[in-house]
Amino acid sequence: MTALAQTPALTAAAYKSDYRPVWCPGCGHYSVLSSLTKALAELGLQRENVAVISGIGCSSRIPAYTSVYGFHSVHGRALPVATGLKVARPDLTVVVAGGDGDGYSIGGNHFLHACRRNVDLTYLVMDNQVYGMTKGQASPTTPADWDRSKLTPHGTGVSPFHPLAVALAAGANFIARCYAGDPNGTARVITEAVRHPGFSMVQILSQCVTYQPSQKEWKTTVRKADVTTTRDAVRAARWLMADDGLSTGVLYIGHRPIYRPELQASCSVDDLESGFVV
Amino acid sequence: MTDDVKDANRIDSVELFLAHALTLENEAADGYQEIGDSMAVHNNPEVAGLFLQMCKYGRMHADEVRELATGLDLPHIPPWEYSWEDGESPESASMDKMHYMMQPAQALALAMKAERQAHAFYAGVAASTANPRVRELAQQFAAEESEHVRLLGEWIAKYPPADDNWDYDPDPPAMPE
Repeated sequence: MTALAQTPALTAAAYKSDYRPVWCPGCGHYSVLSSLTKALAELGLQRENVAVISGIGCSSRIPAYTSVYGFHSVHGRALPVATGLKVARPDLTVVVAGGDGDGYSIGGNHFLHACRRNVDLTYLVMDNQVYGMTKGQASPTTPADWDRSKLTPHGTGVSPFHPLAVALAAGANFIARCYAGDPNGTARVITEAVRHPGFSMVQILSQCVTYQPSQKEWKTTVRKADVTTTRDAVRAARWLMADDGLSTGVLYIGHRPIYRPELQASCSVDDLESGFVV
Repeated sequence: MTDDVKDANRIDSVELFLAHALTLENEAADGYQEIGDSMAVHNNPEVAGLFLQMCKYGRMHADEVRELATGLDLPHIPPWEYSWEDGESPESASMDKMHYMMQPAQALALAMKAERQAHAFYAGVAASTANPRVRELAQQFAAEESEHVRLLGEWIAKYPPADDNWDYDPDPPAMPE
């Protein structure tokens, strides 16, 4: 137990907005919202110094349910928007949130390069292995034999995307997996992810009770990872490639330098305008 | 629970106990509010009303704990370091058991489970603490939770059990294309 000298100025409830979530009852995203607000309270951040940026999808509604700054942006483009914000306003704490479809499919290329650039962002991917908002189509992390959608009546036949292994290969500086059924544990990981410099990738297994009802079983199948956090990328890669995707914990902490662009102007507006004079 | 774990989670100061009680009651109320709001959004006003009523009681209990803590310096405890048996506040009704078509008897059964868990927590503290004042408070809170369980039992008896086809929806949202 840690008795801190200074109590956080705001409670978790203060980071929630007055808007009532429209997620289905039983959806894991409620817990993720709770974990995020607990983490923000624990970090003692003032609301005006935090921005939550999202793309499109059920999980991407989360900025509206917080009382910090937020931007519900374009499908798959949460990371570029967040990157732009963070490099322009490095003083802000920028959290990016979205789902597996938004982040790994249409946003897949941005995901790779956000990991590679290593801007100081925390990316929360609420992974339910399905496109829920559009009524249940297979996403990049959907198991190959999932046949509940009429679009893929015999399963996708495609190996699921492995987000954490890809994040590691692409250069993410902090890699963790959490479970929405463990809100306090998830709050802890989000807190650590925000505190760690660079691009922090947090995959959160967040059940979709409507289109992936079998994910209720995660309550019994998800477990703590049987390894300690490593700073060795090779060791992390070996472990991730052997993992079944249901182990939780902080799996890798890197030490790459973060990307900070030069914010000093290299020329004046007058200089720029002079180049266009005809 | 092993003896080692029991010792590790033992609560021996009034401040620490009230910090736990305050969080337990606040999170119970927040959880009920969240579920009630969710049911209201999904057009289940009867169940929404029940959960919002539970929320109201939870807020009253949190106020009572706050009153008891007046003048005391409660420690700050990170959410993941509370002495909850399974890592989560014991009176939190589990969101993953919710369904947009659930009926009052089912909702009250979930609330009953949460109240029983809260009773077990307080009774556990009373049984394990070495501090007589903490024991006295924990016994008092456990007795209150027992009373809630009794009242909920009476409430549940007023509602018929859920129908066999309680979750049948002629126009369901689950229509994968």
